[in-house]
Amino acid sequence: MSPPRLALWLAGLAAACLLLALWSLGVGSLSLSPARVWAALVAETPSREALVITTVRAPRVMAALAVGAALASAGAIMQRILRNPLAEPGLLGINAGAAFAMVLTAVLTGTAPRGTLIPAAMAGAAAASVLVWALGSAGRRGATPLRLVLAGVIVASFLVSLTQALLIFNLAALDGTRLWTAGSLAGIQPQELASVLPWIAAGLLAALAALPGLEIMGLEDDAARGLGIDPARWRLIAAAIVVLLTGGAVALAGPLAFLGLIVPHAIRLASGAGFRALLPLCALGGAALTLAADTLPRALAGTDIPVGITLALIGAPIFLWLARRQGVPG
Amino acid sequence: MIQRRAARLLALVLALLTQPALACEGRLYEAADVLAAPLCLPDRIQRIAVLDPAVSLGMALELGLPVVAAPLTGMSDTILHEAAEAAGVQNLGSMLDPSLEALVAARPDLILGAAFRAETYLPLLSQIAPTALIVPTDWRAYFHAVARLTGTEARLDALMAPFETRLAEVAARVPDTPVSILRITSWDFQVYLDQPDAYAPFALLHELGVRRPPYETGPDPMGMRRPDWEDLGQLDGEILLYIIGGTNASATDGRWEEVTGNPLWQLLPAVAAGRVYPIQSAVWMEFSGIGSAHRVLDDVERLIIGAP
Repeated sequence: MSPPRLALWLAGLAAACLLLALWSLGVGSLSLSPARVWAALVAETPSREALVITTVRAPRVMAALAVGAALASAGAIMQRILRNPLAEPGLLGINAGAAFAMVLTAVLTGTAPRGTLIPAAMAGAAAASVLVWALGSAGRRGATPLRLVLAGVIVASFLVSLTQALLIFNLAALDGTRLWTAGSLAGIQPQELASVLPWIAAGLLAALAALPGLEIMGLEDDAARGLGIDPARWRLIAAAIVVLLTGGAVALAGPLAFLGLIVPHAIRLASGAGFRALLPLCALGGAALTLAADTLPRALAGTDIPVGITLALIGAPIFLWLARRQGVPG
Repeated sequence: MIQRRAARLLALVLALLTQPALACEGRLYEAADVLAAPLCLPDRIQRIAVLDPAVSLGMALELGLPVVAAPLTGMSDTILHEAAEAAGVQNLGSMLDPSLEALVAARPDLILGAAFRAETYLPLLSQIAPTALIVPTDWRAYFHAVARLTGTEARLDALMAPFETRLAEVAARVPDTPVSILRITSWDFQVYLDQPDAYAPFALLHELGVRRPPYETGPDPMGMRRPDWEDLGQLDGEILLYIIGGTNASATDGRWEEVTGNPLWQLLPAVAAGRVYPIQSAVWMEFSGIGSAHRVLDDVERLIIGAP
């Protein structure tokens, strides 16, 4: 992808995020035009409108952008490192690991998840990654794409069942997590956002800094070694970045599926970008898609549907259409 | 010939259909306030199992009935829980999933519950014991059905008369002050609307003439609204009563602090004026009869009429 073309794409997606954010700030029980949003924000005496925008809508908009950017980037990195077009945090059980660890901690400590249980989410995401990798690469043939996905599906199903079992036996935890387990951004509090955002930001910055190495890791191990890259070390770096991104996103919004799968494919098919250009485009594209999916039901029908459900509803047909039209590589 | 056969067949079917009623050796209950009436009840009811730890349990105990089993897990009304334990009521587990084995082991001669909760289980329950699933949701009509089923109408009248007198006396003193009422759960906010067929405590407020803000006023088929943070501003009563905890963990899982520390909460007129008071989930969400009704009036006298 030529630099001017990349710049155009980046500018387009950033503009889409900005416009969606402006639109989303106006959507709610009280519909506000962008002009009124602006007027409320700059007014000298803080009104209830301004408070609604700054403490209810803005945190939700920022959470949608952050979660979308994190999961789409995590998907792009995983697809590259594992050389597997189906790799993404949801399919490979990492979301489920983070969610299980959070619910377990909530049950043991009696706190409500979201924002408060980030270390648990990170540990769960890391443990699930190790488990899936160990299962998928066991045996002589090593980690083929199919074996990894199978291992991911098995681990994810197992962890989802354990999570359900915990919730059945602990009604208080079930009450606290009923929206979060479906993947929801409703009612995100500014302090929850503030506690998770640094982790996601760190993950995104680390991903951008590690771009050259990650790109080379898309080659066979021998070729990577020939270019001065230690594959084992870089797999660890990539896993740490994915854990930061996924753990942060799950801690905030619950286990959102599809995002890490469809966004990288959609961006790749639409723009033809190589990996270096793909990652920042995915971050912006994921952010825009998540924000649109979170805002649309409220704007169109006046109902708040968990973004996990809307994303699956939007994501599945888009993915099928792309797969039929272009053929998913691999 | 064919007509005669058809007539005989019809007579046979009718005879079979009416057989349980004809064969009832106890008391036949024919009022339409229970599902699948008529019911054949024992002459002398000695062992009642109830299906909920709220209206059915509370009203049965208030009428002095021999309750042997009830789902007692998860209830937060300690007064009713202690009364049930004192009466030797055996625990059937959670109301949402009572143990059928424990129910069978309790050997009830009458099972009592609300139709809207247990209708789908009626065929199963009827095999264990005569099952009266009461249809009306209005608390007085429900209470009357329990009393009629068990022949304790005189006791009910004795309980209701002083209550109705007190209700009228309190109603006369209710000020024309808008009052907001909010339930804070671990996962959402709930507003029970002001309308005649509201959930019992709120129906009582309606009878008392307690004024609620427009957002909290029905009619609405659900009888309830779930405001989000943005809608919270519409709870603009001069007094704010809120229900927290009880059957969910909102009082202990950090939710209470999250809500009361939020600037949108602090901006509510009642909160800003310091006229915000917690009320018990045990009374307002687990209404169980005349005792609860009196406790609703206590709250109204203490927090609305006598509000500082």
